[in-house]
Amino acid sequence: MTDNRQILLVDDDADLRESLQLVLELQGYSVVAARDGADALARLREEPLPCVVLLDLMMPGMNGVEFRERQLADPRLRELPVVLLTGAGSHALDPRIADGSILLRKPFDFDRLFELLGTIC
Amino acid sequence: MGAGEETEARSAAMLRAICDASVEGIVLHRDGVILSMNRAAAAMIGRTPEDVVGKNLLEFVEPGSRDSVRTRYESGEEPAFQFVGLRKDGTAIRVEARSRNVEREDGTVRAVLLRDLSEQDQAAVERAETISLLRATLDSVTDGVLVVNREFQITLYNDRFRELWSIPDHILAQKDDDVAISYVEDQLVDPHSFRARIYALYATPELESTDSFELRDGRIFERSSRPQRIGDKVVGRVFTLRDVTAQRRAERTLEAAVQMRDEFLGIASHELFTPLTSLGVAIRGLRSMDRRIDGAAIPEAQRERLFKNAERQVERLARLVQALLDVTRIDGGHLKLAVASVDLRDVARDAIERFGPELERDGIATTLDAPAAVLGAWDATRLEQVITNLLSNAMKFGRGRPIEVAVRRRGDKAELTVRDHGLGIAEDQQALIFERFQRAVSSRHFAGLGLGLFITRQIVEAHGGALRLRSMVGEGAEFSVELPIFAEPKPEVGEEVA
Repeated sequence: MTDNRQILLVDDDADLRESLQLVLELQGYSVVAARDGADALARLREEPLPCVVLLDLMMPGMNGVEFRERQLADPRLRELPVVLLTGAGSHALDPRIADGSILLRKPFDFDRLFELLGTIC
Repeated sequence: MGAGEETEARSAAMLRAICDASVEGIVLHRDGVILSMNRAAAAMIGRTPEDVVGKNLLEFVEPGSRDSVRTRYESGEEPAFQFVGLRKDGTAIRVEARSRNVEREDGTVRAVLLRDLSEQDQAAVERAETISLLRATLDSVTDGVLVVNREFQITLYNDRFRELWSIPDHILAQKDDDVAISYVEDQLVDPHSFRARIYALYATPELESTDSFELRDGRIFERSSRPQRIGDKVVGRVFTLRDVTAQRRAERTLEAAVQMRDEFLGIASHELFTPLTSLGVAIRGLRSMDRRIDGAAIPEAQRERLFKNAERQVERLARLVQALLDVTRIDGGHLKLAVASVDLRDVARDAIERFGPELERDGIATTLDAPAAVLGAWDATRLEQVITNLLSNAMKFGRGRPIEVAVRRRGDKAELTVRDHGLGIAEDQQALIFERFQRAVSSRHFAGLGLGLFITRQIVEAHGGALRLRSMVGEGAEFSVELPIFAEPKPEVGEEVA
């Protein structure tokens, strides 16, 4: 079961989690925030699943790459859309995680972010 | 004149012509009295034949040689000998003489052939000079030089060559290149390819090459080799050997520094991006509040949170820029302390209060254990920076678990500790983390400039104190700052009394 207005936001930076959550909520989404990959996987054990995961790559503990690997290995989560939030360009991305995901460079282009969310969710 | 006489006269004339044409000196004398002398002989002593005929030849012999010359002709000895002649201008000339008695109708005369040795002497002197020049050059160059002939015999080497390899004289004295190679092989990281290279060069006499190899003691030698030729013929091979260790190390250090700079720039831009991103998000949020589609009232609490968030990002950016400035100051030796009477407990309290919001945002509980005032002469602003850096570090690596700060006085020292219960730091990484741009955990996993602990240590040491770390992997880390109560700044650090 998927909630079409719920977003899972994974970022180790508390300030970014807070501000992005507020902005997304003002757009009418409900946001579940996680501080790292392990935290995110724990949140995904519960139903309903979010319509999209906004995933930071550089995080302490389980980073974005490891999260993506685990996600792709799990039949229940495999099809879940992922938007990668990164300061680096696509050339720096590990193909294991880049394939099938959408890249959004930091700092964000919000029009692009909202457009993406509108398409996915 | 009869036919016999005519023939005799002709042969005498021919003989005289031959004598005059000869480049060797020819003298006929009887008991020292010169009967005839050809032009070549006269020229040796700077005279003409006419000058000397009828005179005693000993006049033209240097006094020290006279006895020896006289003894030879009196005894009729034939073997060649050398003597010193006298030129008309009084200078000496070394001459080789071969003489024999000749029987004539008018009695015994002595014929002497003379050869000027001075040219030969000159050549010998030049050769000696050349050899000495070569020797002096060889021994003064900083490269080791070895020359080996086609039979693999060592024909020449210099002191530097012996020094570079520490080869004892008795090894080189054998003049056998193979013996020398065997001796040095133990010093090489890869003796097999060293030897193979030499054999390849010997197999191709015309080849010129340059390569380098490593020694077990860490030195690196560059080896150049080219054929030794006489005319067009290759007669051997010259090897020059240069110790390029320092040069290679400098190159590697430079490469490492460039790599570190690039990594640092990557990390620094990521670090600046993070608060910038958050700031951008907060501003976007505030703007979107002004044009909500549904026109509903915006809760004041949300607006306030976004403003606070934006303000925190500005502070974070300022701290990052401050850290970059501090490193530049430390590098330039311009870190100055504004020392005043300070209560370390207050400084710790202020730092925790200022940093509190960030800790709270991560849900991290922080406790301060400081039962009494700890007064000392320190720079309060810099010490707050120290505590903030340690808190930031504990937050980053503390896995969300509580952080404990303690302030105590111990004798004439103050001690401040910041303890987390996070990842911990492996023993082999503990010394590294105080270096500039260093972090114990890979930069791909953790954000941070890697400057915090470097700056922290510099500030603590500028106060005459010490920064220590106790940590085990998986059990968190405890940083302790020990400060003398009366700060004794290091001499190179400037002091400004506030």
